[in-house]
Amino acid sequence: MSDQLAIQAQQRRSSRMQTIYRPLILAALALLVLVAGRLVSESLPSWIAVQTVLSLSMFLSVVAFGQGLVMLTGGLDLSVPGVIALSASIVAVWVSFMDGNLFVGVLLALGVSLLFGIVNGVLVSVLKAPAFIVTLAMGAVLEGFSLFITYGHKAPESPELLVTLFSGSGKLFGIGIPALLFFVVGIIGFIIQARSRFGRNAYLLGSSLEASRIAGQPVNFIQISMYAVSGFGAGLAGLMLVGFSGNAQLSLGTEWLMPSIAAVLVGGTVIGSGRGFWQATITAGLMLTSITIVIQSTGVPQGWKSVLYGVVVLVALLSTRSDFGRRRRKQISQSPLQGNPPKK
Amino acid sequence: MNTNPGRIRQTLTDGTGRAVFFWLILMAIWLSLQSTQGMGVDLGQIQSYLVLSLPLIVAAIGVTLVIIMGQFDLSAAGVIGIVNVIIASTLSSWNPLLVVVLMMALGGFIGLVNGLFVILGKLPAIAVTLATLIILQGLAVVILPQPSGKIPPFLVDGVRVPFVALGIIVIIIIAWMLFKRSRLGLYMFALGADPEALHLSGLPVKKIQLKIFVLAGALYGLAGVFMSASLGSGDGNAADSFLLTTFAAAAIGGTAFVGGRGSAVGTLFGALTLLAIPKVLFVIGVSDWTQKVAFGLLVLLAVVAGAFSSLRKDREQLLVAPYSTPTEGELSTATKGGNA
Repeated sequence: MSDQLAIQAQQRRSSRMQTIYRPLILAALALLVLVAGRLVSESLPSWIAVQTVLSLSMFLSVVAFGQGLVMLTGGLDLSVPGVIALSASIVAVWVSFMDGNLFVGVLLALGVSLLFGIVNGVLVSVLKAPAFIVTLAMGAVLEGFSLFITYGHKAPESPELLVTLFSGSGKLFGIGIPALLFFVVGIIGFIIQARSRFGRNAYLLGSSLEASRIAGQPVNFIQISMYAVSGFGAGLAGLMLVGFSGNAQLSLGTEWLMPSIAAVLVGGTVIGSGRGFWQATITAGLMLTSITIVIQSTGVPQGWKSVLYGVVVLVALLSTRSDFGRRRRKQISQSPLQGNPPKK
Repeated sequence: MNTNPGRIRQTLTDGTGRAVFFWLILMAIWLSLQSTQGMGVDLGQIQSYLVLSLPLIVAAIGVTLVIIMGQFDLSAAGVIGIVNVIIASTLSSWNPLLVVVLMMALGGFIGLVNGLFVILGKLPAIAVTLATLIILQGLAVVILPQPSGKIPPFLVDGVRVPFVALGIIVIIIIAWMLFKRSRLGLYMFALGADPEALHLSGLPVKKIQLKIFVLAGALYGLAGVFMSASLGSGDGNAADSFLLTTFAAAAIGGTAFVGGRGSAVGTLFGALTLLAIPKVLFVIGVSDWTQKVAFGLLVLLAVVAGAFSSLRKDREQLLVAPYSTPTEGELSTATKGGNA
């Protein structure tokens, strides 16, 4: 009985580690990186740098939200660059070449992104095709479509409203709008992932597909909706990035795929385990973005950025392992014969 | 008897048969279109097509081994890229055979690192190998920021000697036939089919997994050498496309992504099929974006068809004989043989 209590206490400690301490540690690391940036650049740390980190993290978070849900349920969405490029091309071409209404263009771009997210989800959940290959191939298809839409045109210009909103030129209370939006995205994401039925379904499905099925959950529908959210998020990010960068290049999305996966992993989400928390994902995004900003200000080759990302991910993977392993070992030592019985 | 429809259907649902079938159709379309358009068919063209296919074939076979074992390895593109830039930037005047050995060792070492993280750290292979992929891609760009450098001429000219590429392909097929029946090969299949059973039968599961990761890594290293030879120079980003194409080749070749089923010969023809697609599209004369879309769609189709057929096969197996996987009998004789 007391052992039971001890395990419960251990579990509570472990979950507090994930929900509270990990995000705090990551946020502190982000600040530390910015302050340490002083060593390599005179201009760091500065208010502008903080705003830049917040803005870039906002774009990253929008992508990482869906990515995180997909990874929670055991998948991976590699179609992100394709969706971003397609959504950006749609809205830019619609407004600047076809003189369409911006509002309609936005709806069109988001609708198409959502649609391809759903297609990804159907292929993965109903046909049981491996997620990363399906989404990777889908990404190639979407890049082809973007090429078709912008065919013959040189990177169409972005609609003005989007530029004002997302390039940081528009300000609210003296702070760039994207930097403020970071907090909005953070709160909305938290409500959806941690406080809504949708989020709970994702956790249940991620921790055990069988249990979820037995509990009468519409497993396929839930899985498809995760990919739909990821597609929608990437589409939304595409709209924001079109405003941020000023024109719709096809390479707009390529630099956001790896950071989005890295943010989720560094945030402690274990692929397909139903373990992972949004607040840790966005603070991990803050930390990774800070690292990027500091590296950029030193002027070392861009390649080092990915090297560092990879190393950070490996370290983070090991860190998710440590507390998990302790708990597992404890449970196993409790009842030595509880291992999987031989299948016959 | 050989021509009855059941037999044909069986050949088509078997991955290797299907890949060969697709490949033959594509080759027929390609060559006949080309000859009717008055461009003619010369052997040099087929030769260069085979040379171009070598890196993908070897890398995709490495990927296939890891999939059969029941894991995923995304680092192939990274290893190929880093091998390419290392050869181009520093090893261009070295002894070519030494280069091959060194680069395979490098690939094997990266496979070892992957394996240690996955097995000892008990971490998901997808996440670990994705991280190593990012690291290697970054390092490749750091080592060689702009496409440049030179590949040892012996390698570049060597693979272009007539019938060398074909010979290598034949060697690969023979090597697979031998490996499939070797103890490690059997364990690899058994591990993918039922890891629990293998563990319970007291086999060193971790060691087997590690060996396969190292073997796959060494194959990526070799693929990197072939890729350098066919490219003729160094380019830090040239290998990025291998992430998709290696898995696509495995999928077309009928490798089951749940593990336990697959064949290097199927993957080989999967790779050949995949690289014949652009040839056909080029002869048809479709535009740039259509090529991209068509390529992606065909990969999707192959993956989905493969997943679908293995899904059905799983159900059939469950209905007929749940645990009579073909490797089990062979496995017990193999272990006996090992003790003797």
